[in-house]
Amino acid sequence: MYRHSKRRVLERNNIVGDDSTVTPANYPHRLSFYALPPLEEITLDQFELWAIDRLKVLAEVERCIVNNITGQTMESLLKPVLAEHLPLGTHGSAIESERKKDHYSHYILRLAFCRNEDLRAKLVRLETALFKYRFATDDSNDRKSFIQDLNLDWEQVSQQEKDTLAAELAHATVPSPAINETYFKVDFERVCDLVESRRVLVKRGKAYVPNSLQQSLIAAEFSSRLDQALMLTARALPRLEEDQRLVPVLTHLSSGFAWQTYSGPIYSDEGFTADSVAALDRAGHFPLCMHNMQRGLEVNQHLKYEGRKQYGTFLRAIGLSVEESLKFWRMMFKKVTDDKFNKEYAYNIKHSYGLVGSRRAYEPQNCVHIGMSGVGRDEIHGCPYKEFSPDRLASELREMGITDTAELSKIRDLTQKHQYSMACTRVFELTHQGGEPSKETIMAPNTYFSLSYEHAKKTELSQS
Amino acid sequence: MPSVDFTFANHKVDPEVLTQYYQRLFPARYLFQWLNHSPVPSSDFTNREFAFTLFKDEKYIRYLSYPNADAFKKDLLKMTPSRFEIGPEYNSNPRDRRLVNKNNFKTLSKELVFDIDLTDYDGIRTCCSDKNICELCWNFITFSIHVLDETLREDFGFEHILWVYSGRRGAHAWVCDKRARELDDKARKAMIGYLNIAKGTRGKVIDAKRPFHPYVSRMFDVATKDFTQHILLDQDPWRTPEDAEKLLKRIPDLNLKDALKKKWGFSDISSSTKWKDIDEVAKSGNIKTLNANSLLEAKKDIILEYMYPRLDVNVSVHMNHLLKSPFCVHPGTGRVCVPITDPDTFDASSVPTLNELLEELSTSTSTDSNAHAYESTSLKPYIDFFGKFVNNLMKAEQQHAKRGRENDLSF
Ligand SMILES: [Zn+2]
Repeated sequence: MYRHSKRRVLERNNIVGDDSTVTPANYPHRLSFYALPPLEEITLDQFELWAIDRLKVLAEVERCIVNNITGQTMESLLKPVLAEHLPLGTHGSAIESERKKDHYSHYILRLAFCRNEDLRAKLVRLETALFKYRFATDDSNDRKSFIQDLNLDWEQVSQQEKDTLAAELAHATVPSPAINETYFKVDFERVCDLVESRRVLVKRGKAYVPNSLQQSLIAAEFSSRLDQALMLTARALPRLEEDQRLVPVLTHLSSGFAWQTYSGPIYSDEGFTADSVAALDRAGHFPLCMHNMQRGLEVNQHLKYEGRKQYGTFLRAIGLSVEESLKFWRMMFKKVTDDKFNKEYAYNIKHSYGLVGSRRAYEPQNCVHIGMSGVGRDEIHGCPYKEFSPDRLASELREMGITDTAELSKIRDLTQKHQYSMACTRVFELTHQGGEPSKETIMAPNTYFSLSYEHAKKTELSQS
Repeated sequence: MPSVDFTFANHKVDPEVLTQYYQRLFPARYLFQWLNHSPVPSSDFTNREFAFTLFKDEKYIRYLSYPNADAFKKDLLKMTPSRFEIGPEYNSNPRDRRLVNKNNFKTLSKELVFDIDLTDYDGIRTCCSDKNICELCWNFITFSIHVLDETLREDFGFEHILWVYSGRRGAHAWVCDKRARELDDKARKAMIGYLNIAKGTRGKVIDAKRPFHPYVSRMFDVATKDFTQHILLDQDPWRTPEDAEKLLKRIPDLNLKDALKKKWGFSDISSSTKWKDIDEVAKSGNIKTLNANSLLEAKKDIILEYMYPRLDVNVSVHMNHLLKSPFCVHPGTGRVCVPITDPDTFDASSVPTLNELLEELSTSTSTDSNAHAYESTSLKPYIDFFGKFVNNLMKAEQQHAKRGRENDLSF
């Protein structure tokens, strides 16, 4: 996938790896330890899109872990997300291309997440959870042959030892395994979950794991191999980074997790009202994406679902109360009757504030989420630095007061290298601090807002 | 041993006397070898965190570290900490932690430690309360030491386990095997989960599946032996009608519960009679709803509930948790935190106090140099025991290293 002798590999329109050339022998099983790196070439677009699809799945996995969601609830949440972004069937004509995407996207994320220990730990945790989920939901025959092909070097407990320990083995695992059950002997550190819940016999530092509990063993194996592989990838990365086009893509992918949730200040004490929203936007506190949606709302007197979600959660996180939020949307949706508004929109707004339904307030989206969202023809959400044509972007920026042609072309360069957050940060620097560089890249619209708002407060103070 | 009333014991520790203790009695060299695992200073010791609590205003200083035993002892004398704690070995010198990136300052190893304290038994022990202990309640600690020590050896395969008196109401275990020191937090948490059979943050409830896991089953066998004497007779926890509620709460059958209540009425009856009554009323009371088996299992849970080792989970699960060092002097009792050389005969009231030791030193006729001053005091058996423990540990460590080198050569 990333051979260096061939610089062309990631060139756009260079689709050498046609799906039809993949033989089933490449992917005999649905599950995989991803032992071998991909060899075929894919386009840069595919590279990023596949990785983003996998990230969407992993984000959902993470949501389950964080909220302690397991079992059937987890399945009901993950199933649709997997079906949409990373389907992996057991039969049918699509299995080869599905498995290829699963394989490649996994490797791309290895590249994106190998650069530091925190990212590596995160990827290992999420990928292992995904693997476990797929393992548990796998077809039992496929699972069996998958395990056989793994050739794991687990020490099998001899018949003699099994006889000696028969009573203890039978009591250690509930329900008791079959009499002729195969047992494996591993260091207890490798199966922490089984030890912690006292589901295996532990003797002289070894855990005796019955075949029926092998999921834990295999998941542990998966996780330790991935951990080691990521260290190796990290060592190889500098060579890969010679390909200038890859660096921003990889950074972009991994930063999505570092900034998963906006944790900056929420100005709920500032008394923002429905009427303040437009004023805050005019004062230049909104990043281009939010400004774009506010303007769209004013012009169209409407905003489509994804936009409402992005803009609504942004407004919630700047500190607009639910009452003012209801007022705001009511005021903006001029063409909608009260009756229709209450039926179709009010509930969703309350829902996003966690007042009804699941009772969990929606997190505001960060730049990675917004960058990932698909934008349809009549929709105006998403990241303008990514979605707008260079000319349209330039005219927007001029409207914001950036007229220096050198700066404009610099921002244009950044967007062409997919460095949308850097472009947005540069715009903030130019419009707020006279081009003085900031310490950090802005990775969430709410960060942009709070930096801008704080900046204004400070300036006001120093002038009064 | 008579009840040791530590609250009223006037053991005010004098900093001057403590300095003398550090100077003449404290086994600094053994302590160094214990943490260093070899006679020549290595990062095992030099990157190890110490934390001192100073006499003056109880100031707590973390991230101290020392290049060797002498430097460590010098600081003990200079700063005279009222007590000090031992933390993990880091990947760089703790004193330089500000020079390295915060994300790169990481814990590498620390003994696996356990903390058992009688305050965790306050709902059960009736002989003493608060800071006091006596030989009756010390039985809880003895039982826990036996269960844990055996489990750490038999189940987890560890060999170098040091039990240390905490100076007042409990004991600490230091598991020093290389493998134990290198356990990550996840493995430590797994072990604590395995060992701890009571779950729930408020009001611990026995969580033991049936059939008993071999570990629980082994604990239960020992607990059953001690239960009559240590709980029913010594502690007598259900004597009054109010206290009997604690027992009735665990009886699974409502009708049986009512029958027992009626039988016991409003007078004080010994716990051992009440315990026998359960089976008698169950047999003769003609209670149709009663399930004999669930009653039997409930009684097993009661035995476990009153006996199981109560561990302070937080002390054990994090590698970076600091724990008071052996041979510190407990500031409240003046007693030295000595190794428990034999759990069965250990008697907290005979553990030497700082004042006693200094007295022994001053009356000693021996003209031995400082290095052997301890030999004329009652600290001798404890230091000798510790020295032996440290030597065994160092030997094992050397063999381990040698095996590692041989493997390298054959490669
Ligand atoms: Zn007592």
